[in-house]
Amino acid sequence: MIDGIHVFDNVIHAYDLSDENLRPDRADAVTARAHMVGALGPPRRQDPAELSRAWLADDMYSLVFEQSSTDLAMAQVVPIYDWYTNWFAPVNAQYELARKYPDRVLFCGGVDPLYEGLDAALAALEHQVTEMGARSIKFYNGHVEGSWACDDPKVAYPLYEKCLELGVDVVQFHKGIPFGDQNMETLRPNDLQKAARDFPAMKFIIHHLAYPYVDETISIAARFPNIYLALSGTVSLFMIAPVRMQHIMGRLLYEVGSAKLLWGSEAALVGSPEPYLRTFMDLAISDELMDGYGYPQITRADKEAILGLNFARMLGMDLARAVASASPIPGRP
Amino acid sequence: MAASGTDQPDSPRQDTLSHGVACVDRALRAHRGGAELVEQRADGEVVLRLTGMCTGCLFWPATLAGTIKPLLEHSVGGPVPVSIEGRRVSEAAMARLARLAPPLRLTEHLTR
Repeated sequence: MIDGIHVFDNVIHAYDLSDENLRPDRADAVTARAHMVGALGPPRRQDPAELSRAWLADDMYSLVFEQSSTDLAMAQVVPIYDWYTNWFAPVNAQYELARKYPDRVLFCGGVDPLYEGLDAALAALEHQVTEMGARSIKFYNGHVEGSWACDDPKVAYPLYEKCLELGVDVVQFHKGIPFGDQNMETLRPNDLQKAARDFPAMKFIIHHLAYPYVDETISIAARFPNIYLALSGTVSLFMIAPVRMQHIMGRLLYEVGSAKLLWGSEAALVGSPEPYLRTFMDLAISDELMDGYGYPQITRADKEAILGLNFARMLGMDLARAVASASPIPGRP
Repeated sequence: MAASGTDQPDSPRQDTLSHGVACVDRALRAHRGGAELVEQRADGEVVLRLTGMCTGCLFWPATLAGTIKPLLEHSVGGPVPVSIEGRRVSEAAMARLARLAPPLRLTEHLTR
């Protein structure tokens, strides 16, 4: 809880950035890892060696819960296999984090329909939901080789149908922020429009504001009632470029509304979420921008919604009750 | 605070309000847009949801100031604070709209 507001982090990752997880058949794996750490990492760089390792459940608990005001979090699989043998954020590492701290961490599974084929992805998805307790599924459709479209009726739609069949109605997509030398256009958010039309019962979360496709992302989220935006991957901008972040947040409040925005820290790559939470709590839109751009002021109610209430509502959770019933965190009052 | 009009009116009756919202919706449909009632809050603020081509339109503050609010107020016979679900704009922007682009004179046929 920060300043009396509960924090439900939409996305943390127990990454495996160890040398052992780098694919030996990819000569660019080391470079790609460095790029990913740079793209999502903290503005004050930690020792790359500190980040280039496998993050274990206890590491994540300490970082996210003991070193920050975060109350609950979702550990998300990232099915990036392009440079990693066991994926960027492996299934078992996220599951272990949720299994070990079940009243603090929710498990978000992840599959890819072209990794070992659609049938294997469907089977893995069912296993992750029914046996591992996945509350959501993360997709990463853009790859160096093997990209797929989120509105492909033969590749993507069976996954959404399976999710709904299993009672999972929240799916999430890394969009924008391409890594390495992959084509960036496969990570445009535009292919979620038809999917959102065709699956009105599904809630689609776009991560990273699909940077640099921010304009498209805002338009899509403004028009589709079942598309939500996670601030993941942009929280460093609160420190690096505060006026730019005022612009982004101002536009989001003007065109999309705070009810569709989700806090996402991306820990462990950003370090402890605490400094970002503090910066977000201190965020205010300047008079100059409110006058010149029409942005509304961000309110405490906006921050309360973004920091946790929205995501809890999407998952059908009572946030205050979930936090109250969770085990105490050492060192917290 | 949403720039929605901060008058302190007597809340319109539900049937009067429904008729007013229907008038707004009909007017917006001329441009393939629309509006529907979300709720009337305890403080009297009427919350509308934009539909059709109005959904996601960048120029919703102009529509709110120039069409929705005056038409709704004309229809219910008094000032009504109105806001749009999921949208807010600065007070400065609404004040500028009111100063530079006052609403057109309404014709009676729009509220019949």
